[in-house]
Parts: sequence; C-alpha cells; structure tokens
Amino acid sequence: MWTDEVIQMLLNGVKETLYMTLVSTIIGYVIGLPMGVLLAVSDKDGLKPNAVLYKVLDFIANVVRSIPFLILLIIILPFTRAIVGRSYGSTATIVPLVIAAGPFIARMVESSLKEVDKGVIEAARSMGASDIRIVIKVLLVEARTSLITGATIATGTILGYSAMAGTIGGGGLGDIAIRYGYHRYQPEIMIVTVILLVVLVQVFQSAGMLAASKLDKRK
Amino acid sequence: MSEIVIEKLSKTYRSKDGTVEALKNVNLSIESGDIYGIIGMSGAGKSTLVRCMNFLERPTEGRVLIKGKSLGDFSKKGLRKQREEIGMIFQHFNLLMQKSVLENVCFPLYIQGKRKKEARKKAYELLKLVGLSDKEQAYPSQLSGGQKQRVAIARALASNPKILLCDEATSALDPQTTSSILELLKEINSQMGITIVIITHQMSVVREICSHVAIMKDGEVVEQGLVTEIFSHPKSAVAKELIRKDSAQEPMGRQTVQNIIQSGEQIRIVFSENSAFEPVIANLILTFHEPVNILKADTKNVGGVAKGEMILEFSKDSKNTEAMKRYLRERGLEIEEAVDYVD
Repeated sequence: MWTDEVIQMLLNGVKETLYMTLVSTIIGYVIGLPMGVLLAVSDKDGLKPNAVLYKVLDFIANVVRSIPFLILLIIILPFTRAIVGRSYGSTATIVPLVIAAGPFIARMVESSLKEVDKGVIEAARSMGASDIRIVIKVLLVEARTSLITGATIATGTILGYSAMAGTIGGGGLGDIAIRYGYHRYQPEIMIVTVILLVVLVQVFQSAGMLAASKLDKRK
Repeated sequence: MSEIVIEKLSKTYRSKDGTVEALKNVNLSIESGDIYGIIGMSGAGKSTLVRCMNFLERPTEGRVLIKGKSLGDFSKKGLRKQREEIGMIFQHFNLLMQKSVLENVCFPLYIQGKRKKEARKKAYELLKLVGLSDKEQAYPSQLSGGQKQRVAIARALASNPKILLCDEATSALDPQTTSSILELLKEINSQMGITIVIITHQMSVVREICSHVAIMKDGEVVEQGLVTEIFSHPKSAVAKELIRKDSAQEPMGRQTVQNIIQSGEQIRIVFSENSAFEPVIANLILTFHEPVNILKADTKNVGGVAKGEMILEFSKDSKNTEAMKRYLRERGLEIEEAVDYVD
C-alpha cells in the first residue's frame, strides 16, 4: 500500500500543513502582536491605562477563545467563502486559523510583556523615553525570550488546529488522517500522519526553544 | 538660582480603602552643586518625593521648579526633554537585562536621537569614567551589584544631566561597595558639578557624602539643614533615632558593656574641630571628683570634617549631672540625651 501515490500524498499533506501553520502564525502575529501590546499597555498598571480599550479587547479575546475551534470553522464558513472564494482546502482553512490564533497570540504577548520589570520601564521613563519607544525598545526587547517561547507554543497550537480543520476538508495531514484512517479504514496511514504531526511539532518546539535560549542574555 | 525648588508639595494616593497622603506640604530648596540627602524610615515618602522631582509621579498639589522652571508647565514632549537633564539611578539598578553594558549606556543617547557611532563614543568615555571600560561587551547578569550600579551611573550621565537623583542607590550593596559607589558619586559631583539628590535610610550614607540633609517622617520634612549641623545637634526625634542607629551599626562589644553598667544618665556629646585640643573629659572628672563612664568614643567623617562622638554615662547616684552637662556645654561641646543608646 506504500505506493508512490500514497507517499506523494503524505508529502503533499506535510507541505499543506506547514503552509497553513506558518501562514496562519504569521498573519496571527500581525493581528495578535499589536492586540497583545495594546492589552498590556492599556491595563490598569500598564504604560497608559485605558479601561475602555482594555475591556473591549479583553472581551473580544475571551469570546473568540471560548468558541470551540470546530464550531468556529463552521460559523464563519460564509465569511471564509467571501474572502477566499471557497470554503474547503488549505488556503480556506487559514481564515478560521487566523481568527482563532489572533486573540490567543494576543494573550501570550500580553502576559510576556507584563513580565517585564517595572523598574526598567521607570528607568526608561526617567531618561525621557516616550511610551512608543518604551514599547519598542524596552518591552519587546526585554520580553524577547518569553515572546519566542510564546510563539513556539502558538505555532504548536495552530498546527493542532489545522489538523482539526481536516475533518471538514481543510487539507493537510489532518485531512488525510480522517479520510484514509477513519472513512476508509486504513489505520496505517492514519498512524503515519500522526507520527508526521508529532515530528513537526517536535521540530518547531526544539527550534523555538533553541532560539529562545540563544537570545536570552540573562544567564 | 536654586537648582531644585520644591514648593508646598503634596501627593495623595486614592485607593479603594481611602486615601494615603504620601507627601504633606513639603518645601525644599536644593542649591546647584549640593549633595543633598533625603533620609527617613521606609514609608516616610522619600521615594515619592524624589519621583516628583522628575515628574515620574505627578504631585497632587504644589510645584517643582528646576532652574526656576515649573515641571507642571511643560507639555508632555517638553517634560521628556526636561528629563534628559535629570539622571536617575535606582536601588535595583534597572538595567536592560537583554542588552550589553555598552548598549545600556547608549540607550538614553538613542532616545535623544544620537547616531550609533556618536553614542558609542560617548558610552566608552563614560564607562571609562566609572571604571568599567573592560566590561563593555558583558551583559548585566554577568556583573556584580556594584558594577551594575556603575553601569547605571554611566547611563544616567550619558545625557549630560545637571542633576542626578539616587533612589536608595546603595541599599542593595554591601558596605564596602557602598563606599566605593559613594566615592564615585562624590567625584562626579566635584568634577562635573552635578547636583546630586540622595534618597536613603542610612545615616552613614548621608554622613559620608552629603552636604545638606532633609529628614522625613510620615510624608513631612521634619528637619533640614547642613549635615554637620544636624549631626551635631539633631532636634527631631527621627534625626536622633537615625544618628543613634548609625552609631549602633559600628561593630563593638556594646552588649557586654551594657551588662556591666546599669542605669545612670547617658549623654551623647559631639566634638567639633578645636574642642579636641583640651582634655575635656579628664578635666571634667578632676573638677567634679566623680567618675564618668565612656561607653563609646568614635570619630566620624561628616561631610569632610572630622567629628568626635562620645557616649558618656554618669554614675548612678550622681547629683552633679546637670552641673557636669553645663561644664561640657561651656567648653563648646554639643550635648544631648542618649536615651536607650544600646539596643
């Protein structure tokens, strides 16, 4: 059964999974990073407390994160179709992935930035640094290790979600596992896809941790 | 013109459990070139006061004038510009942990929009000044506490400030390192003419380098003036307490002395300058034919002037105590009760 065709299909699955995961993570950060910064900055003891802004962002983040991903996939099908032109395949899956990942990433970024020592922020203030400069030159730099660790976790989670999207024809390894393993009773293929997913997560995790520790100057 | 003037400054914090008055009607005037100590126990409001001097904290009432200009009148941008003239160092150094020593010192220069090359040149000079030219590529985590504070000092000086605020800058350091940092601050003051404001809870710090001192308690300044003056005759209870603690810090066999000698009135006398020529204590004993116990004697460097300090105890049933005190006063010694000298 390990025909060229099957191997080609699996390789294609890996490619699609990587495509969905990486593109969604990147776009997820385009949304989540500014949102996380705004959450950290507007909170009570943030750089520029703004209760209204914080409450709104906080609410959005909570709502999106409390919707189960599978349900989210289905709810936004019309929206996905409007943007991508169709509701199945790996490109279409990126839409719900980004929507789910954005607020999740925002929370990770928020908690990383809040770990930064208040004293360092005060020191930067005393030197005449503006809030924007403090965000860019102090918060994001000092929280760098924690941000990279967060990105590693986010990538792993998004990869998991992308596999879930396979159940409704989302493409990638998850799709293959469902179609061959579940619908066609070929557990071998399902097992191989699972192993491939495990390997991918491992690679991301190791690379992320290596980068985080290389860039950490605190030890 | 005074470098820093604090006028009727009050700061009130509002919280759910009511309001806290951190500062109550504080008035101070710090002259250019002073090393001005602000001392008090924790919670006295001294950290809040120093943060009002660069508006890290906005006072609820009153004004802060830097070279005659009120900080409250500045726009946001103007205030940031003004802060470049006021360096600040902290108890926990507050360095950027992910940046090298050199980059830390460059940081305020980048804020000012200086180019990398120019900033680095200035940073090298400053690191040389604080004695860390060999550590430029190190990261803060590889340095000792004293070295970190030196980096922080170099960083605070990068923008050529006229004023340096030190918030408990030596409180996290051991006594030896403290001395070397104080020495460095003294150098900076005399060579660069920078006005230094030192917040501390240790009288020894004030005694070693400050020219003036303000003593704070519960958000109020209870006493202020020349250090030599206040050290000789402290008026407030807080001042006396701080001076007593300073004396008690010297490691001596006080405990044993305490056990042998009980009761009898104790006084603390301070010799200044010429009074050391006359053998005052010997003459006192000869005059009154009565023994006097010397519990402790010490000389201290108070703002560059040697001051003798002695704690005397009269014998238990002495009837001449008042007369003896008068005798000492007539000879130009400062006298005060040394209540509860031994802890």
